Amino acid sequence: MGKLKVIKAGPHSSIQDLGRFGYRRFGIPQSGAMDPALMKLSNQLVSNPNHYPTIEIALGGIAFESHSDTSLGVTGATLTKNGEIQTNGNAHVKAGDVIEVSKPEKRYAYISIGGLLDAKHDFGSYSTYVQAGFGGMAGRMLQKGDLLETDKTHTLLQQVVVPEQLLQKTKLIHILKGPEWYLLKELPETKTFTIDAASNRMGVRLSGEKLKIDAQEIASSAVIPGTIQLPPDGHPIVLMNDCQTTGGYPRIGKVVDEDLPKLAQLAPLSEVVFNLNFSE
Amino acid sequence: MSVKESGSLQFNDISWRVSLLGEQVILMECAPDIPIDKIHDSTHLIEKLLADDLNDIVPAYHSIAIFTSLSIVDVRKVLNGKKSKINQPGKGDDIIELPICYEVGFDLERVAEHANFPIEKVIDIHLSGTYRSLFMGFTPGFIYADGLADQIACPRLDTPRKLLPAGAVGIAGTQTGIYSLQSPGGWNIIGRTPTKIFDLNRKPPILIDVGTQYRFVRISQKAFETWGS
Repeated sequence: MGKLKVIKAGPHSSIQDLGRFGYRRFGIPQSGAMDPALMKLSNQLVSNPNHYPTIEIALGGIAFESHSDTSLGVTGATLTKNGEIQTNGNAHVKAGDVIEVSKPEKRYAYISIGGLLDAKHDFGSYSTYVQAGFGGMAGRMLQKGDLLETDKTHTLLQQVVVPEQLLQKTKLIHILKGPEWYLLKELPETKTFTIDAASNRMGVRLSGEKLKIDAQEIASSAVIPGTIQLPPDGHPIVLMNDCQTTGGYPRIGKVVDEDLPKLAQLAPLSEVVFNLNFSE
Repeated sequence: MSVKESGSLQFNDISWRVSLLGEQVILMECAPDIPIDKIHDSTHLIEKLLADDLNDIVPAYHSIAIFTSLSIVDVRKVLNGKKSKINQPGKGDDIIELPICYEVGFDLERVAEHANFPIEKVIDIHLSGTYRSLFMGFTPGFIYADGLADQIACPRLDTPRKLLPAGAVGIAGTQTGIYSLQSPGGWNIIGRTPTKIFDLNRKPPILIDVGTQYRFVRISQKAFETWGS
């Protein structure tokens, strides 16, 4: 059985799978990997099914000490074992090996351990949602000393090519009009913002020129990952995977599903260009 | 998919504005004067009509979000002109009783001052109310309810508290609700219920479903502190 001890946890490391679906009616958010395509590739590196829970790290590295034979796959960061360095790679490890995973090259990176990770399973998902203590390692972020265990030792290492578009930093994000788009006083087709440092798994805050709107609040109504809310301060927030299920701020737009991981991967203070999608 | 597909829809005797909230989420919005019972009734009818094509559904004050891989055109075809049977029994017949302790509320004085009533009168008014879960949101299981007497309505705090306990009973303007989990919050906390309204280990995890009515029964601080032990 695979056993890894966390010896350095990093700032925002959590167990995530592809998310929790079908429970928004109870106010339960989606959660799950912020960059699902990259997360699936880390599973493929160790022959895991795509939906198996992985370790998501953000804005900082993580380190493990192995307590057994096991296999590891890393996407979006560098894996170092006994001085051997690999980017987007995989490795077999033995008991006693120390494995370091670098800070993500973009914002989020994924680590898969061969086999099914022993994690809390709530509402159909292993994804960690800290606010309610769902999923993951006892419903919280990973900490130094945590023991991660899987049901297998070595799994077959697979060669995986990370597609170029997952490695590139894209600052162009396509959006659709939201239900309250018409409340905006100006209707820009293109707008440039900066990613605020206060962004997280719940939302990406955008700073820049304020947007003006006619109404400040609406009667609470459904919101989803990708919804662009405009609070009274005029600075939009793009809701992300851990966002709440209803909200009272005008929903001026929606980041297209395809571009949401690209937005998630932009580092704090980077520039982002929103472009209204008129296609179809 | 684009706003071009938006439009209106007649469903359950209500005119709805239909638009996309997301690529696989259709938003139906109605006039604010439509009673919430009709929203709940329409929600149940959509559940029945879309059956396995429905991935999730989120009702709110004047809207219903439908999570489906069907297109707006197909959903419109299924829903158009349909209505629920008259005199369909609602969920509102049973009233759940929830224990409440006012001594452990944080803002009872603030609410009393705002209402210009003695504290005991605020408590009496609050205890005489029958509340109804309108929808859930904010955090898992958080109940937005109606039924609050206008006399004890009170604006939300200027600065939200960083951490409220689960079971905190809140007032924000004329809205009322119950915090299902420990979370930050800006509502006036008039009292607390020791009952777990959201419990991960219970099936279903919620105690009070959308449309269900509840009222409060006062308990002492001692009973609150030893509840369930």
